[in-house]
Amino acid sequence: MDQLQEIFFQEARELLAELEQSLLDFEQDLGNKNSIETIFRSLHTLKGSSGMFGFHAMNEFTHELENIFEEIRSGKSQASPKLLEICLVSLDHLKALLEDHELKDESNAARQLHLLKQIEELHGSKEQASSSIHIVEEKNDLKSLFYIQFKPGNDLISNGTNPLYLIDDLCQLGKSWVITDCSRLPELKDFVADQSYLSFEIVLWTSSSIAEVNDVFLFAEGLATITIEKVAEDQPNESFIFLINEAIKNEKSIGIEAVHKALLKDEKSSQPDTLKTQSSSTQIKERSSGSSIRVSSEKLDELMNLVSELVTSQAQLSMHAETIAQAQLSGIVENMEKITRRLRDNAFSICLLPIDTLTIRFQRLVRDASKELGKEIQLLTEGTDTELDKSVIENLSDPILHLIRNCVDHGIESLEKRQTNGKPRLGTIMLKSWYSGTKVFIEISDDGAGINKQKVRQKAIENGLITEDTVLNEQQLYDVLFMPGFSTAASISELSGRGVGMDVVKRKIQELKGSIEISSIEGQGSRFTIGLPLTLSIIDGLLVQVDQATYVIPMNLVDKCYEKPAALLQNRVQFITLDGERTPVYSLRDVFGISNQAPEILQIIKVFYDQTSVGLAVDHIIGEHQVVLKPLGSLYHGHNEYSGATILGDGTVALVFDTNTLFNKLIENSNIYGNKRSEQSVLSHL
Amino acid sequence: MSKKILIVDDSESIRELVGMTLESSGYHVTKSVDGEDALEKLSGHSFDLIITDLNMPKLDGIGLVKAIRAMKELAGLPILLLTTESQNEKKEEARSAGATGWIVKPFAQDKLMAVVQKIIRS
Amino acid sequence: METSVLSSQSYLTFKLDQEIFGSSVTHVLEILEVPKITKVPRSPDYLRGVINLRGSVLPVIDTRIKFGLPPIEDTVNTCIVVLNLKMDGQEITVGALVDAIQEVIEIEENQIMPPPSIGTSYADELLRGMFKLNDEFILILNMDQLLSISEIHQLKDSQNLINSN
Repeated sequence: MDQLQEIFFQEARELLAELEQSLLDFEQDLGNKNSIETIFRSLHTLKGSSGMFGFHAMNEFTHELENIFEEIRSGKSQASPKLLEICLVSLDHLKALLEDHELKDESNAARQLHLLKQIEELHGSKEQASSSIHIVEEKNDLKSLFYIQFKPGNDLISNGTNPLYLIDDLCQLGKSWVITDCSRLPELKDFVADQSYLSFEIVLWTSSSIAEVNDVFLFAEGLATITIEKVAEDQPNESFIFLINEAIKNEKSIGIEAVHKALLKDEKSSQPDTLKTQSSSTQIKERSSGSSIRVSSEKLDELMNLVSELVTSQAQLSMHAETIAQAQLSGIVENMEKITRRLRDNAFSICLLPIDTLTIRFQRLVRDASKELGKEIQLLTEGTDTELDKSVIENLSDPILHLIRNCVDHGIESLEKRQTNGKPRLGTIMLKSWYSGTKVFIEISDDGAGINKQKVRQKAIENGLITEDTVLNEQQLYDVLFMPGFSTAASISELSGRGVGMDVVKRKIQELKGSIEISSIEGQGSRFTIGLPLTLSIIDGLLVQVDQATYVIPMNLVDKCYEKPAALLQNRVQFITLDGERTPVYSLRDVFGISNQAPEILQIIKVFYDQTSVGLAVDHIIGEHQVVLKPLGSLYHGHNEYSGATILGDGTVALVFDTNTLFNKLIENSNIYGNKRSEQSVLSHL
Repeated sequence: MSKKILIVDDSESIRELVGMTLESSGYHVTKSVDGEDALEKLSGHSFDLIITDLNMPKLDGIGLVKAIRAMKELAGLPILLLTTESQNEKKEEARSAGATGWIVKPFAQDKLMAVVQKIIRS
Repeated sequence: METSVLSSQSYLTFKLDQEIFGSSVTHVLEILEVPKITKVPRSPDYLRGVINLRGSVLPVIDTRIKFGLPPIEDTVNTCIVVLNLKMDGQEITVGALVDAIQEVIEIEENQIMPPPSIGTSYADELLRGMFKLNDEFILILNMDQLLSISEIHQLKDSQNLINSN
């Protein structure tokens, strides 16, 4: 049951997210029928499942909301901004109910009452009897005699009701006599399987009420002719039973008249209930989401582990197949390799989520916060179908939320100020995302006031982060914003004042092995750019050899390979013209301080770096391989120029380069140790 | 052989709850997320009963009932609808479409079993 | 646990240079022959590199260098002791190169003598005590200190090594 409840909670959370999105959509476009439908259905499902799981507060609440949207849906009433306001607050309330489903928290209970009242006011008179009225039937030991006529119609059987079950049910109620009328049975050749040719008369001696007897035929109503009559309150006498038994033997109907006559009682008839059926148009709604199943993340992790192991074994297999060099085997191994690669890609895509999944929260934040501050702000998104690993997405939510909050709070100016500065009333915050190389970029920008450098500097001095005479360039000054202890008083407003500073944002992003940069133009706006590695644990890599060791360069960063005489490369780094382009080339031998004799021919691998390319000189190129990234462990914490290590086909370990970090370090180094002038000038264009 | 029941509901929690109740009574349960999905499951598999929600994306409960009743080979297949009290008019509509019966949400587990046993016997 | 009844513990003894050391077996996961070790360029000397331990990457510590003993070439007796250690509250698995494995012995807690205050070049935190076995002294190690805080700093500094060429 607990597990079921967990499913309910998870489902409820999803429904609430869906509800939130559609409410926000609806607010944008009050005529949007799709939004209404989605809102209605989310509420309806929530109502249904919360009721089933006994969460009465939520059940009651969603019921009221559902009623409102039912009316809007059917055109009986109109949505208003006021209504949406209440709905959004209600949504938050529903979220709170998930944590406190019994309304133990008094503030929740009070809010529920308050909101219900608001809904009622808005909704006009609240319909009564929202909860079912249970008629308590008086049970008595008194028995009665019923005469029941049951003539199945043509559709009863084809609609799934088995008439014999109904008779069986009746017989369960007490002592019964069933007369079957077979007179309508056709010849066998005319017999249609799902037609009922029989009709029945049942005499029932029972303590059940007429309603209970009627209940047996609940699903048969309208599909059969049913007459139920209470014919006596005395036990049937022997002559009556004799009559009935004769009829049963003869398979002939006796009719109500005969029954009455036999009982010598006054007639009392009850109208058979016939159901008038009306068909109204059914609404079938389109929803774009494909069907899906829920899988626990443990199972996904296990899948990924198995795929990793498979890839490692595959590498070993490939290597051995190569040494054996048997055509048939090679063919199979090659095919296996393709399948493994596809399986890998597939498994990875399962773990990816679009950034879209976060944007609802952001939309809501911008909406609420701008209202509160009396600003008009829209949040535009671009490229939010960019996918990231699920765990990364989860950890990104807070930092991005904080940055957007910052934009709303400090970036976008007040309406008056925007007017004076000749800016449009409506401020814009842009959330953009795109892939680039092995990275995903997420950019949050606004068209607000920009960062006041003087103010930042002032604050930093006040807080003792820098001194009066510290010389900082623009980027360095912005970096101050990320320093712990730079929480400016101005930034602790109602909205941003969660005690989370920009330093936390930066730390969170660094934990994801990402980076964040700020750029800003005063009066025009600010831009925060988050760069995240596509942390895939299995990658295509280029195996290279330097001295005795094998290294892996991520294939997607490799541009091209060149063979050059070693004599060309005299220094640790120098420009070499590759395909007519002067490219800085690092000798890995030199970088690693390997002093033994280098081969006469060097292999230079041109690797993408930022907007340009950098060359890496190695001894040999071994080939392309799928590699499974394994962490190097905390002992090698500082060595982030490697994204990890991998086990090769022969069982040895090879280090996998994170070339971006490697180049960053190499370049940073040349800046720090500015004595290497030539190097610095070589790299100044990077 | 235990009777096979197909549950159609877009709400996972209800699907699971109903499923668990039926399974613990010895029924063999298959779950389906909407009408279209249910129709797919129906081809090639035989069921003794279908329990379906009314309000679902893609193909709703009534649509599903109509689709099934249009299939001659499935004539007589019992279909139970899960409804709520606010859907009384839907009940009628469902009946005329050919639904066998309904269960009003919220329902207790024994009520569900009583209704199911009304329709199929093992 | 410091009662006289429960005070006996098993220790794995191994040789490094001329000394015999003992480590509580609770830290020891297994003992390996030395496979091909992949050096991580620009890492501190005492980190020999990484090896493949059944599909995981295991860092290997050159214990001689770590203890300030003169480095030697590996011999046929050289082994890797796979240890489970605590570092900063986290459990990590490392391999430690030792010259030779000796044996596993039972030592009673009250038989462990305090470490010699002079005559060793080992850090105080590292040595837990001494035990005398057949005229030989076994230095009992506090294995969790093998990767002490100061070492971590040292490791972090190594980050810059790649640059300082």
